[in-house]
Amino acid sequence: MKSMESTNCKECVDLLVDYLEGALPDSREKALDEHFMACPPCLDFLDQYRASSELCRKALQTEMPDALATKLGEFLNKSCK
Amino acid sequence: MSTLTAQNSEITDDVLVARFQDQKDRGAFDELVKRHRNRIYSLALRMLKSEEEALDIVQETFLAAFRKLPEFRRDAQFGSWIHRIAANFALMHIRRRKVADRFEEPMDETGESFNANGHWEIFPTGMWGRRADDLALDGELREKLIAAVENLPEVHRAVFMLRDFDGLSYDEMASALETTVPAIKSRLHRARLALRQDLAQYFEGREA
Repeated sequence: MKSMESTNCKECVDLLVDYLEGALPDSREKALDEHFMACPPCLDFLDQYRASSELCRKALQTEMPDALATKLGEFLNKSCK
Repeated sequence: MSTLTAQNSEITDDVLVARFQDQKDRGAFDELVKRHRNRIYSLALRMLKSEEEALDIVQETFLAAFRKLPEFRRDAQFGSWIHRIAANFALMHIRRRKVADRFEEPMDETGESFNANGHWEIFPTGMWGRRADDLALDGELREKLIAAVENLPEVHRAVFMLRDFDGLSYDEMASALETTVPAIKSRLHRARLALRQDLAQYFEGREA
């Protein structure tokens, strides 16, 4: 098992994609868990990293404007025979 | 002519697909369009930054779906299937715009700074990450979030949208973008770092 000393802040940041998806080897994941528990700046960073993605996903939900929805309907009526 | 009414909105996609396949029920297809068009439009609009091209993607996607739906295997999820079709059309549009040379455009620094021991030189600050679930997406914040995504270089934006908005697998993205899974993960990470930095600056300004 890797100890907290072997995982520094930069390594934690570099491994965030795999860490958040549970794709790291168990020992590495445990080392990051321990680091986040002991390092408030990294924990803040982790929260912000995760939140950025979630907030953007929510904000990007867009309703198709009525005029385009009408065009889509006309296109499909004409093309889908 | 549609045989569906507003009361049928609780009918699952699977049932609508079966109606279309078994009874040639055009109303079932129209209901599937209605259910999925906004999500596909959102993906295409943010990837291509053009309403007109986004409409093209939505049209091409549903036309392809109409043609291929008779052979669609019912054990698959219609939603996943049609979003994969849309993602592929969006990627084709990007390639057609001949932006390949801009595809690798470098990203600005994303703000994290570490010393030789790998520890923070400047601590990230702000509690906004912890209360993101409670944040109201007011007009200003929503505009900021959309602008942050639209400011990403094209390939980073594409990867972010396909993974974090549309849930495509790394293998599918690597294949569509003719690259490797580690390269996709690296771009996704850079995109998320850039978004975090943009939002950190925004929230610091708002809390100041």
